[in-house]
Amino acid sequence: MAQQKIFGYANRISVKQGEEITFHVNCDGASEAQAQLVRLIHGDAHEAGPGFQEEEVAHPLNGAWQVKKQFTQLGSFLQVEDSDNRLAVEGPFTLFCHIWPTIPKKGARQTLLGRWDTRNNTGFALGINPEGYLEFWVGDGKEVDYVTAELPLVARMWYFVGASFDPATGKATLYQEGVANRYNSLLGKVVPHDYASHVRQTFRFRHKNVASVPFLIAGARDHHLLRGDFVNDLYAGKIDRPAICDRVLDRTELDACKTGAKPKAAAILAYWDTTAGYSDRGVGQTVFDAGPHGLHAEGVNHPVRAMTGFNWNGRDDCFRLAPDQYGGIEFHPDAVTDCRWDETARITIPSDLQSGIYAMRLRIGPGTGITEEYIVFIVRPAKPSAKLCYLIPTASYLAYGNESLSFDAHIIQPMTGQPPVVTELDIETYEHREYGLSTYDHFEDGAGVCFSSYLRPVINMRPKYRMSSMNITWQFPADLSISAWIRHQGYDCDFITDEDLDREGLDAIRPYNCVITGTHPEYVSERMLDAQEDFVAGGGRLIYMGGNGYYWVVGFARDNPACMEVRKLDSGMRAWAAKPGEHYLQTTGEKSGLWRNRGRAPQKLTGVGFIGEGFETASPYRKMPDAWHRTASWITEGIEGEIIGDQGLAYGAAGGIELDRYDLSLGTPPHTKIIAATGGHSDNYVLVTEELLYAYAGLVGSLDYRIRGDMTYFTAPNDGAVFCTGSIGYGQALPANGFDNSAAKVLANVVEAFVKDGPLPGTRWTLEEKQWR
Amino acid sequence: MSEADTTSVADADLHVRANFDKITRSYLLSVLSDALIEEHRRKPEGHHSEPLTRLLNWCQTRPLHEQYAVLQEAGGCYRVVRLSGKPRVPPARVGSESYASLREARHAVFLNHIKDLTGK
Repeated sequence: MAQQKIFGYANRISVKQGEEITFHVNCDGASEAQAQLVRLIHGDAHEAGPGFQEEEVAHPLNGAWQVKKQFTQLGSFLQVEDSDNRLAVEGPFTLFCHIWPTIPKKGARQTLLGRWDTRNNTGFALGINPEGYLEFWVGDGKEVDYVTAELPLVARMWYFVGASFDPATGKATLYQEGVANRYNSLLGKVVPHDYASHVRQTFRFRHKNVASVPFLIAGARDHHLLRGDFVNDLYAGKIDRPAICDRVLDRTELDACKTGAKPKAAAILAYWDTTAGYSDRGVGQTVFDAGPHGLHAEGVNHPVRAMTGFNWNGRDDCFRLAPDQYGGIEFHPDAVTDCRWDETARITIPSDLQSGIYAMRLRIGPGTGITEEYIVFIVRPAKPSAKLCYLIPTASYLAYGNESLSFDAHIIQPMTGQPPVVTELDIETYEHREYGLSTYDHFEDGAGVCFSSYLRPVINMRPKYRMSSMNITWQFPADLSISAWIRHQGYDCDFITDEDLDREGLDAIRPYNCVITGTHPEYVSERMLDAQEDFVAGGGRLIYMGGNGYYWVVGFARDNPACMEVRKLDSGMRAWAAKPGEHYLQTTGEKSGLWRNRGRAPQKLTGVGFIGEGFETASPYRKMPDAWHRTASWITEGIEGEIIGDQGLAYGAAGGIELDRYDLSLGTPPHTKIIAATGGHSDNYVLVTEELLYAYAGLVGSLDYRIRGDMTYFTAPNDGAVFCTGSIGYGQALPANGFDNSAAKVLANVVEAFVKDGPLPGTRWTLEEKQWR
Repeated sequence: MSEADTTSVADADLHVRANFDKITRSYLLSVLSDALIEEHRRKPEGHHSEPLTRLLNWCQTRPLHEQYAVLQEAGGCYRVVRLSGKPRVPPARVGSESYASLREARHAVFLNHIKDLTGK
C-alpha cells in the first residue's frame, strides 16, 4: 500500500457566519477521509499548559469525504493566450529575448520560449540544454534537431539570445551576445570572458505544430499518465522582452534588437513588452503583447516582476522612475502560489457558529502525523457584536508558511543555540517540497522567496505544530495560547484577520473598543498600519501582544489577495536581501523593507519596536518605577512583588524570543510609561541589525542593557490607549499554571479596562501627568 | 583563460575557511575535557564557560552537512540525525540509540560533534 498522507487548504482564510468555504485535499493511500469541523482551543502540548485542546462542532458535512491524489504545478512561467494558434508558425520564424540565467548548468533542460511538447517531441523552442549551453530545437514527433552555442552561459549575466529557422532551407541560426553593463550583472568587464556565440546549422527535420500545445515562456508542455498535461523544463532566471517574428531576422536586425530596439512591425508576430503595465501602484500578472494579435501572457505561480531588466543603468532604482529598465521577469522552477486542486468539499458556515479559530480536521488511517490534517480558517461574525476583537496576524502566517530553516539555513543553529527538533511532518514536507516555500527560504537558484500564499497546504499553520529550529510554537499555534486565555477568561470576543483589515481598513475594527494582536504580527501592509493608527487615534485601545511586530512592509496581490509579497532589504533581521534596484513591491508600488526605514518605526504606533532576539531561554519582567505611577498602577494591581511572567510555555518565562524596546528617538510617544522590563538575557540574545551603525563586541544579552522587552502603556486621544508586552513569549505564558499566573493577571487588568466604554482608569490624573513629564 | 576554465574554478574562500577551522579545532582540542562535557550535560542552554561557549559556537557553525538535529518520533522518543546539506534530501539517522528525553538527545548531538572533533 502507498504511504498514507493527507494535506489540504481552503480557498479562504477568513469567512463570515453564513458564508461558504471550499476545501481542496490531496490524499495518498486512501480514497476516503473522516472530516470533522473543530474549534481550536489550544495548540501546544507543552506540559506547563493545558495541552492540545479542540472542540468538535456538529455540521451536516462532517463524516466521510471522498478524497484523491491531486497534483501541484510547480514553477512560475507565462502562458500565452493564443486560442487561434497564431504562433503555430509553419513558415520561417525568429525567436529572441534577453535572459539572465541563474542555474544554466542545471543538469536538466530549461525552456526559454516556444511551442514545445516534451513528451511527444513536437514543435520548436529556444532554451538551455542540461550542460548550460543555449540551444534551439525543432521536433516532428519522431526526430529532434538541435543547434547549440559554442560557449556555456554564465550564471547571473545578461545576454541577448535568439534563433531563427527557415523550414524551406532547414537553416537554423543561433545568436548569443553578452549585454552586461557596469550594473546589471554579477561580473564586470574586468573578467576576461567571451560571451558571444553565433552558430548556423542545417536541420534534417522540420517542426510539427500540434494544435493543443501552448506557447509558453519559461517552460514547456509535458504529460503524465495520471496527472495529465503539465508544464516542465522550467527555467530559472530572468527573461526580458521575449518575441517571435514571422521571418528570419538577419544579423544586423538582431544586433539592433540586442540594444532593445523592436524589429520592424511587419515582422512581429508577438512582442511581449515586459515593461508595459507599470504604474506607481505596481504591476499585475498580465504581460502585454505589443504585436498585432494582442497575444497577452498570464503569469502562473507569480513570476516576479518589478525586477531590473537587461538595460538597467544602476541609477534609477525603481520602476516608477524608469519602467523601461524594469523588463526583467524572474522565474523559479520551485515557486508555488496556488496549487489549483480540484474542490473536495464546500461547507456553509452556520450563522450561529461563534466567531473564532476553526479547522476542518481530516483523518485517514491511523489519523496521526501526516495522516491527520487541520485546514485552518477564522470565522468572523456577520455583524460585530463584542467589545474585544482578536486580530489574527495571517500575513505573518503566510510569511513563515512552510519555512525549512532547520534543513537549509546555516545561520539557524547559531541563532537558536540548539539543534533543531524535527518530526516526520517536517521531513515529509521538506523532501517533497510540493507545497512551496516561505519568505524565509530561498529558491533552488538562491533567490529569496518574496511571495507566499495560503492557496496551498501551509504545514506550520496548524495546531500541535512546533517550529523545529526553536522547538516552541510559533505564529499560528502560539497565537492559540492567546485565544485559549480569552476563552478561559470568558471574554466576549470577535475574531478577524489581517486580510480583512487590509481589504476593509479601519471599518474592520472601528466597532470594537479593544483590539488584541497575536504574538508576532511582523508583516503589515500600509492599509493595516493606517487602520490601527487611526483606530487608536480615534479612541480605540490596542494591545500589542508580541515582539518584532509592525516590521516588514508587505503588499497583497491585486489579482490574488491570498498571496502576499515582501522584499527584504537594507537592514533588519532578514533571511535574504533583495538585489539592487529591486526593492519595490510589484503588488502596490511601495518600497518594501522595514517600516522603520519608511518613517514609520513600530514605536510610533505601539511605543516599542524590535531590539533583540534569542531562542534558548527566557526571563521574567521586573516592574519599573512607572508601574507605581498613579495613572498606571491599575495595570499591575494584584501582582505581589516586582516580578511578572516567571512561567511560560516558551522557555519557561514570558519575556523572551523576540523583544521590543521603548525608544524616544524612534517615535515612542513621549508620555509612554515602562511598566516593566525583562533583562539579564543570555548571550544567545543579540542586538538586531537595524540598530547597528558600527558593529563591536558585546552586543549581546548579558552585556547590552538595550536587549530587553518593555511592557509599556500610553494613552491616546479620545480615550484611546496602547498596551504592549514587548515580547513574543508573553502569549505563551498565559496558559501556564492553569492560566493562573502573573502575566495573565496583568493582561486581564488591561483587557477588562480597555473593553469598557468611557475613560480609562487613572485618567483623572491627566493634568498632573502632563505636568509630570 | 577560457570560459570553461573560469566556470569550473572552485571557491577559494573554502581554503581560508579550512585553515581557520584547523586553528579553531586545535584550540578546542586543547581545552576539551571531561569537565567541559559534563558542563554541557548539566546545562545545555544559557551562560557557559568560555571554552564551552567557543566549542558550542564551533558545533553550531559547522557546514550544514556536518550538522545534527534531533528527530522526535511518533512514540515520543528522540534520535540523532545528521543533516544532508542538500536541498530536499532528508536527514539520515546516526546510530541506533534512542533517547527518552530531549535533553539527553541534545547532549547526544553534542557528543557527536565531539566525536567529529577528536576523530574518536
